[in-house]
Amino acid sequence: MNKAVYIALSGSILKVLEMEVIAQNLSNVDAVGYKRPVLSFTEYLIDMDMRPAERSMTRLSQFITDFTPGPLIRTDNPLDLAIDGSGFFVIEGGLYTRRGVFTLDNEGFLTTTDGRKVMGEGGPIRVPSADVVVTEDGDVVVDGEVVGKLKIVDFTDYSAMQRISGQYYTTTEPPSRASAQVKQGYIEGSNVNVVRQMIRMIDATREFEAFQKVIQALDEATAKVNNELGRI
Amino acid sequence: MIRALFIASTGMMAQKMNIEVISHNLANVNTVGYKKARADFQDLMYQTVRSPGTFSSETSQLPSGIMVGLGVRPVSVEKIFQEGDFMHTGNSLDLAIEGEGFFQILLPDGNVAYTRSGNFKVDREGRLVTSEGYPLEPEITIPADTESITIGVDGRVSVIQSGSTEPVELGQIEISRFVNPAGLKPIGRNLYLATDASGEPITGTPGSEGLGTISQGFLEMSNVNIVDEMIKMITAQRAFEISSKVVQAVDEMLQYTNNLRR
Repeated sequence: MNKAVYIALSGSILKVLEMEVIAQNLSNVDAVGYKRPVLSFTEYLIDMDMRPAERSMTRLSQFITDFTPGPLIRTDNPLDLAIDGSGFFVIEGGLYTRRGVFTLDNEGFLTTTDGRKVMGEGGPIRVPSADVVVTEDGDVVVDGEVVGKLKIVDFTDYSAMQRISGQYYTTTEPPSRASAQVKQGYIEGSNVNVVRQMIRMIDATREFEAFQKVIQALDEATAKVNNELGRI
Repeated sequence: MIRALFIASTGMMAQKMNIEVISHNLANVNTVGYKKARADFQDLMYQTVRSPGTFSSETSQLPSGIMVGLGVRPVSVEKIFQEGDFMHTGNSLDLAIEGEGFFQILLPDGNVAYTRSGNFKVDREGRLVTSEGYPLEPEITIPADTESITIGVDGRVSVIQSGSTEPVELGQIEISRFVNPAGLKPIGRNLYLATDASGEPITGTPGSEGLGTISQGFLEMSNVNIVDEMIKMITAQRAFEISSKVVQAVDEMLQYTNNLRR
């Protein structure tokens, strides 16, 4: 059988993977603080063209997260916080997030909506009342009294960031203090660009189709060899 | 089967839930004391296709892995306890709480429920009750020969009885607040129950311990903002649509594959 069929096959498999990433992005188009993953395809085309003979199985070269900020959406809810600039909220358990939809637990600690405590400069922040003001520096003020300061950190290298369900990230990089501002009453929307994803989706389906056509053509060629060349 | 199909379906289900929450808000746009709800979403677990840090050749390591997310899930439907607009009604039994706090209502099963909706009535025994007939806790009983009722900002209820000019004090309304009101469990009829997440109620007289004050003759309207909800509805509907387009696209891909063998 012609080796080219495997090249087309690996191309198809990558298109399926790309489709999965597009589906993931589009299903999270409304998820606060969601950052889209990016696939790199240039390398894979070079692989395809340059070394088809020894490298017929093609691969993805890169899978990183695009940390471009999403749009800030005003909600006026005092426990909705967004980071204006680069940086992350620190959540207990060594997690980092840009998803600033917070609430209070039964003891008054500031937590995420899935119940993890939000870390301040001096540990978890306890807020005695939901009537809270958060300044741009991250100071949490209740009744004119500062009860804590949000810990906002940044990293020099984002490529080591690992994604964890729930818009959280972990990393082995040492955190540094971020200079970003905190906006109270705002949430950061998902950074998925719907138009771009739609175009990518159309691309992916059509490219998938093209690979399938290559497989079909090769199949037909092989059929010709088998059926017609042998005939005398 | 292609995972993208199931990933897109989680997106559709999440948006369906979003629409449900929005339509509940819109249905309650004129409900006294109603607090709007908001659905909140998180991305689902990631499936590792290729781990980062594994060796790509003898001397090189992969700088990043491939982790395909499996979609989205609703994580909470949270009540937003922003104050609604106050509407003047002039009715002496319409009460609104300015600031934090909930009226305490005694349910028929003996539990105490909490509400922001202050459109009280008097039942045949003279007790202050909700529209369902559940009495206010602690009970306030209005005598039959009452001419006018005055409820002060601190919740003190006094009446002037016929044939008298001296006000008679009947008692004081107590209200409660919670550390985390978003953790209250809505049970319908504008009532909420305390839960582990909301914390214990902090009960007191209006104006004390961070509690709000009472305004007589006012009602707190729903805090639903129609413009906001309409915009949210449009985005939710379009987001649903776009996930359905993914399903269509994946279906086409499967069709090409199925047509490979003729």
